Amino acid sequence: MQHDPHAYLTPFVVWENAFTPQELDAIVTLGDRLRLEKAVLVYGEGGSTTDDPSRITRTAWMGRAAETAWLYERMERVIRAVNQQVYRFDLTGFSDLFQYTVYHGEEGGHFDWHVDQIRQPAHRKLSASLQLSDPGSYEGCDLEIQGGVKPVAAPRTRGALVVFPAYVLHRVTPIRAGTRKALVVWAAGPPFR
Amino acid sequence: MSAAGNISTQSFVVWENAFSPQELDAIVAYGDRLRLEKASVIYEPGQGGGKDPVRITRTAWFPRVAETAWIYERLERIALALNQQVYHYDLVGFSDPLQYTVYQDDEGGFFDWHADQLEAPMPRKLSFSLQLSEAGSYEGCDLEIFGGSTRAPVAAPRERGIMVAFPSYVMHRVTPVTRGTRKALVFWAAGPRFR
Repeated sequence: MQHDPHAYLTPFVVWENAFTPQELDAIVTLGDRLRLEKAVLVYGEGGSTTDDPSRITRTAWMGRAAETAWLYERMERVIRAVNQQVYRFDLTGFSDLFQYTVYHGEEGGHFDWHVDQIRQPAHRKLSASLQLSDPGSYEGCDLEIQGGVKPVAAPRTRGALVVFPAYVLHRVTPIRAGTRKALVVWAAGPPFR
Repeated sequence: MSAAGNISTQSFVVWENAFSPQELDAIVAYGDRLRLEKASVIYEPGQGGGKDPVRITRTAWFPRVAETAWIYERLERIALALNQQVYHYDLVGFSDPLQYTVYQDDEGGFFDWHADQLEAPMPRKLSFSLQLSEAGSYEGCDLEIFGGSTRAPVAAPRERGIMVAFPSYVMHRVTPVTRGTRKALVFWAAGPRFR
């Protein structure tokens, strides 16, 4: 990736080949062993939660354990490199555990326009989504990012890591067939200044 | 300032009574004397701007001169106070002259979704909009802001004299004006890139 002083204004940055196909298989295996729950949105002043129709997703949190240490280390290295080359934000680590996310065709999985910039438990500054499914194995379910006037769809390539500032509006369009899996992580740091 | 509550969940903050009604009249009188030009919007090719207009507005720039010094000074003071209370950004000053903006119903004035961040050594970091028209004197033309942890865009207050501020990376738009004319004074505070 070439350094571009203005790249931080592009809707998103893509890092390919962060993981081998075998490693991607291993991530999916780890994720599929977890108990997937219907995702709940937290928003508003009181952090109220509701069964919100704007998001239909199954998620599970993938903690840092002996089994996942390699995954955390790799992700840290890649996010750090993207940040050094493009965003240069002050970052202190990940805001949350890694989120394994599954969109099912039969549930009409999707996630409406939103930003990730929440401040609890830590101030999220960069969002990253790793494509875990073969693009041909599902229809719809595009990660769209609102960088300029019109939204731009992120690449569907398996293994592509899509990185963008947590304040950028994005959505996942409804899935029409198949299943899409992704690993979503957020890097945190002191508030923007 | 009515920036009550937890700003982490809000997409913008509001400052009231920055100017007296007489001062607002003076700002409008000054703006109306300027030659208003059709605003152009700069977007990179390939970003989807295409042939669809994304903005129909008349704008003019307020130079910083003896006649406008009081406006600049007041806005600077408010921008600084608001930044100290809410955002805590590194700022060096305004990025551009103050922009006087007019949306007219006879041309269907509007400004589609966009963010204000631009490529610059000192990019825009905070955006401000001061309402100069009586809320009842026009229809439509809402400044809508989509950020924070709201699930949908939120319309900014329309009251004359209200100033709205939000980070320049936040998506916002002005819906089409369907009756009357809306005037606003828009400006941006700049500083070193976010970190």
